[in-house]
Amino acid sequence: MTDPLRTCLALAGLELKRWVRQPIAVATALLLPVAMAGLVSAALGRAAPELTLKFAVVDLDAGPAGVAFVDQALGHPAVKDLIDVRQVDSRHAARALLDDDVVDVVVVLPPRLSEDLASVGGADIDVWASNPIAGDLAHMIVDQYGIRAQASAVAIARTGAPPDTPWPLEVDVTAPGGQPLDAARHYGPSTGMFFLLVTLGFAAQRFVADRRRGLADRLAAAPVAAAPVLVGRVLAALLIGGLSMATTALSMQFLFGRSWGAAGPVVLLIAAVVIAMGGVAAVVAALSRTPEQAQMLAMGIAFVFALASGSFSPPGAIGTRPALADLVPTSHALDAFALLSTEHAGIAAITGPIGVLLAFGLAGFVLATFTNRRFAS
Amino acid sequence: MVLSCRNLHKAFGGRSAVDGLSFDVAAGEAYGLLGPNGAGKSTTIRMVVGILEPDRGQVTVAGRPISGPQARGRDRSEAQAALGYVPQDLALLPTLSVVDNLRFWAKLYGIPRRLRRERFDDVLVAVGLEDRARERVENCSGGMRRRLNLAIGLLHQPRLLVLDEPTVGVDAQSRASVLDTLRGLRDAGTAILYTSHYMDEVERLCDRVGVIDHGQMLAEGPPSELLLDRPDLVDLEGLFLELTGRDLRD
Repeated sequence: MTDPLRTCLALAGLELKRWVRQPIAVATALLLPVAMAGLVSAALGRAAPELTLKFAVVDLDAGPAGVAFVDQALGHPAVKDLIDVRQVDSRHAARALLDDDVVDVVVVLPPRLSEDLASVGGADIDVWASNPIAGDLAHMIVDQYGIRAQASAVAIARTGAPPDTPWPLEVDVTAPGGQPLDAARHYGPSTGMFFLLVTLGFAAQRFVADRRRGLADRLAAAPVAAAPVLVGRVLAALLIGGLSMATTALSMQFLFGRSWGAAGPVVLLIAAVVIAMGGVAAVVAALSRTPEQAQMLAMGIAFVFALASGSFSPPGAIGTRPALADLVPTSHALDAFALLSTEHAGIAAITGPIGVLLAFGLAGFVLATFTNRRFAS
Repeated sequence: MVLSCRNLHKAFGGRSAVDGLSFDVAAGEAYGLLGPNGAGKSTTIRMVVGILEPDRGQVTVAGRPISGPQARGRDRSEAQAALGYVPQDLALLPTLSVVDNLRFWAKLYGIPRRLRRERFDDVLVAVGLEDRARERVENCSGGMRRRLNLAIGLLHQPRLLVLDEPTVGVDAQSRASVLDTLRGLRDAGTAILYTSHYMDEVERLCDRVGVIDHGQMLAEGPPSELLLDRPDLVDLEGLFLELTGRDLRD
């Protein structure tokens, strides 16, 4: 029997050679993502208002602290363009708005907030959010506000007068070293994943075509084991997929100035996304009877995933999670990409989404292999 | 015997496709497996090359079991290395050149790099494609593709060549070229298992034929001997129709 490693490499090399000689597949993997990245960045310029989060404030204090929170904290120049604020009478009404996705975050100012802050005892301000971005921003504002209010209280207690500077002194809407999630940072990974799945659709198309033209039979009659043949072909497809995603990421960063985050976590996340989408493509290859069917199915799934994960949603709706989002891998990937690009998060912060993506990919490969032997043959 | 099939049985969904088939092919012999559509030829071929497992029975190639209960690991892969398979479909890579197709299969069959150039030249000359080595397969004619399909099966110099209707849809010149190549291989000692719907091809190439229908062997022997018993029949096609009937098959 031919050495399994040699078999694996021969099949991987063959796949890469065939891909290079299929101009439409190369364009889909490498050129279209760059073109789309350029369009996204040009259409959604850096200076444009990029994100609007809807805040509901329940002011149960009805004292000066509540007024100061709305006017000075939420009205601070650093955040006022990012948020729309509405006052709500009760916790119940605010919860209903949050559940209906009318608002992204609710801030509840408790009764006696003004008195508690004045007594230097601190106060608990509740924050409820429908998505991590809105929640993080609200917590930052509330924390800054609380610290500043207590500082004022201490100053009054000691000197009989508030500090010279008005509070809140500063509200930093970004994490240390981080940047706000803008539309280009959202659409970049979305576009990359869309073209990734279409690219893997071409690989599925080649699988199905080989099956139909008897190449799979000829491989089965050769003195090689089935596993290295399959692994070699899948690895090559995943490599091409990774190249496509990396091209999108690099072109966004170096041509259009939009970083996806630190290199290490981004590479890991891209690898996990490619494996997840590879699993999807494997199922497509197993189910399709003709090459055309495989390509259409891959394209259809790419659209469904994009819609279900909010990839096509306008920038103002970024915080709103679509109903089926949890069921598609692209949503989990977008959450992780948002963490990496806005907060420069490390690997630890995205282990959850990576786990989901790997599980999704593994399930796809297992499903393709064991429910339909045509894929493995 | 280079190929030995013993008591092969295969059923799909309760319907028997091959039912107790046995035959042998010796070195330097061409054996024609004849039968109408649905007779069980392709199922038999797939069991012979190790793609399909028989329900019962065994196939050995060059003394090694390739299908059946004893076909395992090294024996099976050695048996597969001893056979060349030329499927009915054009199992080619259309976006690659003729020589790139050969190169891929040379790697899979473990042909050492130093021998490849010589092997490529030999098989390309054998099938008359020596001037088209750099041509992309998608630009080749149907006849050229058929000949390349055959060349791939010859690349590793197999002891047994299994051909499933290798001349379907090609012109007379390419058919003649393929048959000339096969006769040369047979005369050089290669065992050949050949299926075709062209009776004249089988008569010209094969030393023995087996006529099968409904998965069973109806007659077996050299074409001339089979016709000796039936002086009313003038050729193999007449015998074939006599044995398998004139009803149309799906």
